[in-house]
Formats: sequence, structure tokens, C-alpha cells
Amino acid sequence: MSRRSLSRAEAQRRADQIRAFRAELADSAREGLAPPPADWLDSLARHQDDLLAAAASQFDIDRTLSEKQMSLGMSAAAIFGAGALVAAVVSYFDRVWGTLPAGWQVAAVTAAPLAAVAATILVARRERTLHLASVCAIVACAAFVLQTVMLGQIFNMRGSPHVLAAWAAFALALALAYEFALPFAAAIVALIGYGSALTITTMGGHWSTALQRPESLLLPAAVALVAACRAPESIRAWGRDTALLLLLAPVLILSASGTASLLTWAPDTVELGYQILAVALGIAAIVLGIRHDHSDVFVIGASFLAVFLLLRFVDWWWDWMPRYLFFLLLATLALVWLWLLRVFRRRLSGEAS
Amino acid sequence: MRRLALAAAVVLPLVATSAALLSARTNRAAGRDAIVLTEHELQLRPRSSDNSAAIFEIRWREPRQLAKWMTRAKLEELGFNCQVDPAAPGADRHYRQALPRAAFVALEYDGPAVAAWLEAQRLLAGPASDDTRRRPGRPEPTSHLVAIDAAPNAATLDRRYPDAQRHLITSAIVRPDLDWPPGKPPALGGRIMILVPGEIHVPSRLISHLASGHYAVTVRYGQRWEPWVVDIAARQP
Repeated sequence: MSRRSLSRAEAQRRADQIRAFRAELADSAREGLAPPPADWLDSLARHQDDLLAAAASQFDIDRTLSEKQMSLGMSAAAIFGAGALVAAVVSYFDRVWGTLPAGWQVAAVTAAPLAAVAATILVARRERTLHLASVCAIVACAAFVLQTVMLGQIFNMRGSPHVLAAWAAFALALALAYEFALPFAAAIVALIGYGSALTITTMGGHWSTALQRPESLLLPAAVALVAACRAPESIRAWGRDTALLLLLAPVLILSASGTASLLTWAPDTVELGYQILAVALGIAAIVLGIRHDHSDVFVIGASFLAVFLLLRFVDWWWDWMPRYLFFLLLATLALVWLWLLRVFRRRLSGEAS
Repeated sequence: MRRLALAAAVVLPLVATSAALLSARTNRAAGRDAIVLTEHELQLRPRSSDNSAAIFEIRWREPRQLAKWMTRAKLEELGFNCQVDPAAPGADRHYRQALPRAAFVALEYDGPAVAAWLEAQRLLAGPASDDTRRRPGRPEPTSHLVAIDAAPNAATLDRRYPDAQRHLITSAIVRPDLDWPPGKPPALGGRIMILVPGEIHVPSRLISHLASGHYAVTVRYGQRWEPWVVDIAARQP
């Protein structure tokens, strides 16, 4: 039987499934269930061992729970290390900047991202887990941003929104080369920012004031959300979650502050419209998260709705309601929400069986 | 796919630097004559051992009572919708909601506008800060740069104010503003939010000339309306 080549994400998922399957098989045997035929078990064990060995040699995946926990720790350490390294690079440039002639300044800021990209490539060749390589990639992205900002400063340039597109392109290139999650999320943020800047420019405003109008983020975030769902599986969730957060955040802001809207309606009308949209989007995120088995989307949707409702309750009741009654009402609503989720869960279980 | 992506990651920094160098070369190939400004107009950002870069912040004035040039007609010329009567209901929201726009502004250096402002202050015999709008750049009361005009394109101002040693033309972000004089109906005006760029980088070869804290800076604006420091000389205060 031919076996198609697996991606890193698929290999890790298969390894997790095999680990869970073997644990359940052992538990069932301990509880007295008759095991499957021995020759079938042997054949299955050999198949699974071959698959794990191949995946381990190619991707260095986590084969046990301890390895998985270690990998989480390594990812956290990588993110922390990348942040500290970026701060070190920026601080170093700040310190030596005034002592360098203009030519050296240009050369230094140009060399920084190139050196970081070279480091990413070299490290990735030697390290299968790619944690160190991801650190180098994050530093490369920061170095490229630093390069464009410093060049703009050296030559006193007026600035352009197209620099956001350049940032997005650079981060996307590194993200897709090795399926790095953080650079992909950064590329999504830069792309949405670019779309927002272009929206404001098209309307006659100055692009640097785009964030004063949160609505300018909505369409680019929606487009980015759809595009992120087509990314490689290992980085898809990061792009999807980033775009979803940047889609929901403006809705939350405008549901509370209609004066920041581009619409010419009365602020109260704008706020009401965005409150209705907030409820619809929150419920949609929850339903889609459950339907497609995306727990991250479900958590974001549920958290968004919770924050939105809390803001509404404070806005409606805080000023006139006794404090104890306000919190009692919140508790009651939380219990009603819990009950509704239980009913929904029971229905899902009924459908599954 | 990986090779293509990595090639893009290598090419982009080179393209960025090339584009910046080309833009600077184009900007400096032509432009207005130089203007000499002092530490009152170009304030040096604080430096330290951890921050050795030398950056000037451009300080200017936009005195409220002198901004009579920012009329409804001027705002409409800049692209704003000024059809709503300032006294009408909802006018405040209309003008607050207007998107800030890019424009070019002319600033007069050490000319009649500054003299008029100083005279007005002397007559009022009040603190200078009462009538000077605070800008995000915190303009110093001693700056002799005063905003006197704006236009949607620089060529108009360049023709109108040909003396580069007395008038500085630069890009800015402007927006309409309602003024509420006490006892009078609201009046439509405008204000300059920030100059673009609002800072000028000091070449490291000239940093030593800033030691005394009193300096005369020769600045030129090129054909892309981006400035650069030509020279710095120490001066007596």
C-alpha cells in the first residue's frame, strides 16, 4: 500500500492519534474486553511504528505526552528569546546610530535582515524542530521593519502605506518557507493594516489616521480571514485567529463608541447596528468553531461575546443598579448561559449517537 | 516554493534600500533654496548613551487668532465638505468626523506673522500659551515659524511664496475645526495636526556642532518636499 508524504502538522496529528489509540486499547484490555486478533494487532503495531519512525526522522515530532509538554515549553522559550533578541538589536542600533556615517547606517540596516534570513536558513538546515530557526525568522521580520523605519528616518521621507505591504510580503515569505506561525500572524496584521490604510486613502483621508476609524479594518480583516483559511495547516490557526480578532475588535469598539464610525448616522444608531452585528458575529464564530472542530475559533467567539455582553451590562445597568444586584444578575445570566450550553451539548451528543 | 519564498525574503531588503536611495537622490536633485533655522524652530530630541541618534523636531506656531487664512473656502479647496452650517445641529459631529487630509502648508519664518503675534500678545498682556494651540509636537512659544497658508498641492504654494529663505513649504495633515468664541456662534476653521515629516535627521558628521545648544541649521526641501540638513553652525544666543 502506498503512503503519501505527510506534512509536519499531519504527522504530529497521526502521532497523537496513535498515542491515544494505544492508551485506549490498553485501558479496554484492563477492563476485560477481548482484544482483537493477535496477527492484526501485530500488523497494526508495525504499521504505526513505521509511521512514527518515519515522521520522527523527518520532523522530530512529539511521540509522548512528555515530549509534547517539552515542545510547548520550547515554543514559549523561543518566543521569549525572539522578543529579547529583537529588543537587543533595536537597542544596539539606537546606541551606535549617531556614531555611524550615513553610508554605514544604510549598510547596517540593510545587512541586518539579510543576516537574519541567512541565519534562519542555516539553522533550519541543522535543526528539525525549527524552534531556533523560528527565533531567527522573527528577528529577521523585526530587522526588516527596523530597516524601513530607519531608512525613512535617515532620508526624512514622508512615508507611504505601501511599506506595510512590504512588511507583509517579507513576513509571509519567511512564514511560507518554513511554516512559521508568528511571522504568518505578523504578515496577516500588516496586510490588514495595509488594507485599512488604502481604504482611508481611497476615501480622501491620510493613511496614517486609519486606526482612528476602526471600520477601515473590517473589510481587510474579512478578506484576510478567508485567505488565512487556505494557508498550510500548521500555521492556518494562527492566521485565522489573528484575522478573526482584528475583525471582532473594531465591532466591539464601534458597538460602544459610534462617534468613531465613518457612517454619517447618529452615534446611537451606529452603536445599535454594531451591537446587533457583534451578537451575530459572536454566535457565528461559536457555531462555526463547533461545526468545523476549531476550538480556537469557538474560544475567541465565546470570549468576544462575553466581553461584549459585560460592556453592555455595565453601560445599561451600572449607573443605577445597586452593585450587589448587578453582580447577582451577571451570575444569573452566566448560569443561564451554562444551562443553554448543556442543552446544546446534549443535543450534539444525541446527534452523534 | 521554499526557494521562491526565501528568494523574496532576500530580495525585499535590497529593493527597500534601493528604493530609499533612489527616492532620496530624486528628492535632492532639485528643490527650493535653503532656509536657516535656529534651535527655537528645530529642537533637538533628548539624547543619551543608549540613544545616540540626533533628531530635530520641527516647532511651529498656529496662533488661533491669526489663522484667518483657514477659511471655509480654503477648507473646501483642501477637499473638505463644508456645506454644513457651523451653527446647525449636528455640525460639531459632522466636522469632528471629517477625515484628516494630506495637504501642503506654508510656514513663514521670522516675518510679519510672527511680529503680529508678538504684538497681539503684548496687547493682551497675558501668557503666550493662552492663544497658541497645542500641537502634538508641543510647539515652543519662541519658534519663529508661523503657519500662514495651505493648498492641496505644493506647486501652488511654491509659486505664491517663492522666497525660500522666508517661507518653508512642507507636507502636513490638516482637518476642519469648530471654534467656539465666548458669546458668539461657532465659527468654522481648520488646524494643522502634524507636519510630515515632523522631524529631521541630523547627519552624524554634524552632530558635534550641536554641543553648545545654540545653532543655526541650514535646511533644504527637495522636489519631493522631504528635507535634509545641509549644514549646522554654532551661534551666539
